[in-house]
Amino acid sequence: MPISKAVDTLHTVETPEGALLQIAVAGPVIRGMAWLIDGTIRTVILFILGMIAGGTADGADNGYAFFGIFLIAQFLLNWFYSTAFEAMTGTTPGKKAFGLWVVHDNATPITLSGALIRNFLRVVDSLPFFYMVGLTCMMFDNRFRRLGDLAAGTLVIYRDQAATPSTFSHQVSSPPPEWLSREQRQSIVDFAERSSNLSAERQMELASVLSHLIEDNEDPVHTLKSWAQWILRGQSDAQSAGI
Amino acid sequence: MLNQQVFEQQYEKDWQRLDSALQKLESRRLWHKRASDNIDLPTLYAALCQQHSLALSRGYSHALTNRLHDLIVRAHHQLYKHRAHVLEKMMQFFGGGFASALRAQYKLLTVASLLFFVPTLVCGVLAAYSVDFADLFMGARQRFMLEQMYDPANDSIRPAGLESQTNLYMFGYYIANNIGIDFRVFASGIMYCVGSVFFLVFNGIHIGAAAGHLTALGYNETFWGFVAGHSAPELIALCISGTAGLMLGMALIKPGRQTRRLALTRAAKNAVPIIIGAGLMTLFAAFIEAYWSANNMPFKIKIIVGVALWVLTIAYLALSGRGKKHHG
Repeated sequence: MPISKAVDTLHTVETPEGALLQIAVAGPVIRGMAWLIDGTIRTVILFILGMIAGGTADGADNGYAFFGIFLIAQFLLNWFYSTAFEAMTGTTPGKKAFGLWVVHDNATPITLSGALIRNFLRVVDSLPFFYMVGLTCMMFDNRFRRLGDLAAGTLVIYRDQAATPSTFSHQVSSPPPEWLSREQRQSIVDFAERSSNLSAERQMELASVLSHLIEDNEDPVHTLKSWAQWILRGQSDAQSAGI
Repeated sequence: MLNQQVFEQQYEKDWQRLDSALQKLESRRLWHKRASDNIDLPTLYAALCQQHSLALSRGYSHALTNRLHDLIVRAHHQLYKHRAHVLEKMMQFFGGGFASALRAQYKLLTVASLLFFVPTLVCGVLAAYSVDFADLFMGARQRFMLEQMYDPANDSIRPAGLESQTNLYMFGYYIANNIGIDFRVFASGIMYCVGSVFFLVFNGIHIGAAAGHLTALGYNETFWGFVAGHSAPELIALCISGTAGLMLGMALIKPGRQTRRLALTRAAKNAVPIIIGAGLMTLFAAFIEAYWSANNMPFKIKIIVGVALWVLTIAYLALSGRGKKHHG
C-alpha cells in the first residue's frame, strides 16, 4: 500500500460532510493533447473568420471593417476561450474529449475568478516555448499543477465513469470462514462481481491463488462465488429471490 | 450487521431520487434552473455521505461503494456550485467594488505608478532635450515612424500603414493590443514582480520618449490632440494592471505567516477584480481612441475633454464605494 500510494495520482479530499472524495489528477501528456484540440478549434474559427474578412475586403474605405471584428475575435479567443468554457461548464471542449475537468482543490466546481486566473497565467506558463515553465512546475508538484493552477487553487482531474450497479448473483450461498478479514471478504466480493468480465480460465487462475483458504479444492471458483453470495445477500435470499 | 442486499434495498429509493434530481440539475441550462429543483438535495446528500461511510466501514462491495461515491461527487458538485447573480455583481463592481479593491492596494498602486510615470517624465525631458536621447530610448526607425505619423501635414493620425483604416478596424486593433498588454503586465508579475516591473518601466520609457520628442518637434496639436482623450483611462489602467501583477509577485516575495502557495492563491483572488477593472478601462480607452481621438475637433476641445477624463477617472477611483462595506 505505501508504495502504490506514493506513485498514485489519486488524492482524497474531505468534504464538510465528512465524505471522502477520491479525485484522480491528470498528467501533462493528456492535458497537452486536450490543449492541442482546443488550439485546433480556435485556429479553425479564426481561419473561417479570416476567410470572411478577406472575402469582404474590397479595398474601399469600409473594406477592412471586418478585420476589426476579426482582431476582436482573436483577442477574445486568445484570452477568454478557456476562461469562458471553464467558468460555464467546468471544462473546455478539448478537455471534455479526454474526460478531463477543472475543479478547485477542495473539489468544488471552478469559479469565474479561478478560471480567469489560471488561464491568464498561461502567458507565463507557456514561456519560453512549449509550456516549459508550466511543465517544469508540474514536475515538482504532486498534483501536476502549473503556475496558473497554483495561483488559482485549481486541479485538472479525470471525471469518473459512471459506476455500473453489480448484477452478480449465484445459485448457491454458503458461509465463508469466520476468520476472514474485512479486506479479504471485500476482495472475494470484488472477484465475484468482476467475474462476468473474465473468462472461465482466468477465473480459475485467480481463484487458485486462494486455494490455501479453500478446503474443498475441486471448484474454487464455485466456492468463492457462493461465499460472495453469502456476504452480499445472506443465507436464504438466493432461493427466495427466485434466481 | 445488515448484509449488503438489505442495506441496498433499504436505501435504493433515496439513491434513485437523488440520481434523478441530479440528472435534472445537470442537464438543465443555467437559466432554466429553479430553486425548487434541489429542495431536498442537502438532506439526501448528507444521508448519502453517512451511508457511504457505513458501506465503507462494513466492507461492502466496491460496486456499491463506487456507485455511492459517484453519487456523492455529483451531488457535491451541484451543491457547491457558485451561483452568480451577474447583474447584481456588475452593479456592485462598478458602484465601488473595483475602486475599493484597488484602494486596498494603495501602496502597490503608488509603486506601480512611480515605476511607470518616473521613467515617462525623465525620458520625456531627455528626449525633448536631444534627439540622441530619443534614438537611444526608442531607436531611430521607431522615431522616424512616429514623426511620419504625427506630421501635421497628414490629414489623419494612424500608425504607419494603417492610415486609411476604418474606426471599427482600429477599435479591434487597440483592443487586441492594449488590453493584451494589460493582461501580460498582470500575469508576468508572478515572476517575483520582475515581469510587471519590466513592462511598466519599458512602456514608461517608450511613451515618455515619444511624447518628449514630438513636443520638441512642435507637433503639439497632432500629438497631444490625439492622445489627450484616451490617455487617462489607458495610462491609469496600465498602472492598475501593474498593481495587480505586483500583488502576485509580492505574495511570493513576502508571504507573511502563510505558505507561499496559499499567499499566492489569496493574492490572485484579490487581484481578479482589479485586473478586470483595468481591462474594462482599457476597453473604454480603445473606444475613445478609435472613435474620438483621431477626429478633427478643435485642439482646445480635445485637451479639455482629455483633462476632464483625467479628473473624472481619478475621482471615480478615489471616491466610488467609500463609506460602504464591500465583501469579496
